[in-house]
Amino acid sequence: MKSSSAASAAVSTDLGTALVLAGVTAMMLVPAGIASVAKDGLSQLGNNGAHGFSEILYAFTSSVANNGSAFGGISGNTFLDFWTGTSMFFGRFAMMIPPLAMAGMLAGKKSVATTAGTFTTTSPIFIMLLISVVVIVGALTFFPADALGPIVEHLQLLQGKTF
Amino acid sequence: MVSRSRSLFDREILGPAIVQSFKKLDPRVQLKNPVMFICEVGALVTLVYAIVDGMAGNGKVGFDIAISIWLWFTVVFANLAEAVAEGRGKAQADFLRRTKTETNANRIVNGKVQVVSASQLRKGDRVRVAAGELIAADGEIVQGAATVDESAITGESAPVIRESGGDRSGVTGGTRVLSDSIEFVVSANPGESFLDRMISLVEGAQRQKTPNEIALLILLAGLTIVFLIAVATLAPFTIYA
Repeated sequence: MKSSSAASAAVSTDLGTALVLAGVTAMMLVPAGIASVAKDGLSQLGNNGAHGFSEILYAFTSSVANNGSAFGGISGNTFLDFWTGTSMFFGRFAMMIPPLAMAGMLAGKKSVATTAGTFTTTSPIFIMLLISVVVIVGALTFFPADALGPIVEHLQLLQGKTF
Repeated sequence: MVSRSRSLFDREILGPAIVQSFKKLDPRVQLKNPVMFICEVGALVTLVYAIVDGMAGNGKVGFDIAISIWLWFTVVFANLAEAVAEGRGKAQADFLRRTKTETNANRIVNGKVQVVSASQLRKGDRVRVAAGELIAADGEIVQGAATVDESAITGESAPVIRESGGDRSGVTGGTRVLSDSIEFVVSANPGESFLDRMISLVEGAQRQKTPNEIALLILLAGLTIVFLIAVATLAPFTIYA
């Protein structure tokens, strides 16, 4: 019984993690992709080139994962308001469902006494693993998009081009 | 029952495994593992690109071919690893099955000894086993005591004593009597014995994924979706750039 409940916990937490990862990525990159080819999205950009793309990317990143701020160079219209609003709605609320479900499931479990075999969340190995996962998954997901916007922009800044 | 250890790249296993690794390219087989299925789809798409670019004669064809080769290699190598594992399991199962069919048993019918194949033994038959002989079936000792080498089943290297009456009267097919002789009554029909269950376990016919495997599969499928989104959205991004 014990092993089966532990195993089902692994399945549920993995499912939840996968849902959040895929959800955040989809809500950030898909509307940004739509905005970067749609006429109504492009018309609002104050700059073209890499800085213009950074404006789009930042607007959607901030909508999903932060306070919904945007660069000064980008202005709003119904099209952008709709898509950033949608991103914000799903990024804020839909993404809370899997963690809450996981928390609820874990709360219903019996707590087990700490032993030498417990994988503590304060151990260096756990911290290292967590940082690696965050960096690797984050880099693999957003590096391609970053390479077209902020990174190009940085290289251009080094060449003396400012925006 | 001495099991021969096999090297990782035994020719008997590797040969059929290579053939299998190409047969497993069938999408219906690949679909069981969504991550590798996506990889195969990617390999196919890049191959189409390579052909189209090759016919158009433009300079992208080298890149297309390189990517396509990497993806096909990944899929085929994953299949090969799986086929080698299956091949080893099958070889082990064949070995176990041989011990079952090639073992003879001294069946006692009305006080007379008949030599029969292990597969002919039925529940309730009385069998005599002498020192040095293999025990042909699972059973319960009714007469005598003997030391039995059960290493084939339990891995225990020291012989154990099995005797009639008491707790230690059970014998298992495939183990060997080392000294003395015993008579036992067969307790399992062919197909129901411990050895049969071992064979079916090794062959993996009824093998189900463990919950941890399912959890890992879900996580990997999720990451695959994430990276598919990351790559697919590159298309509009590069149109802009």
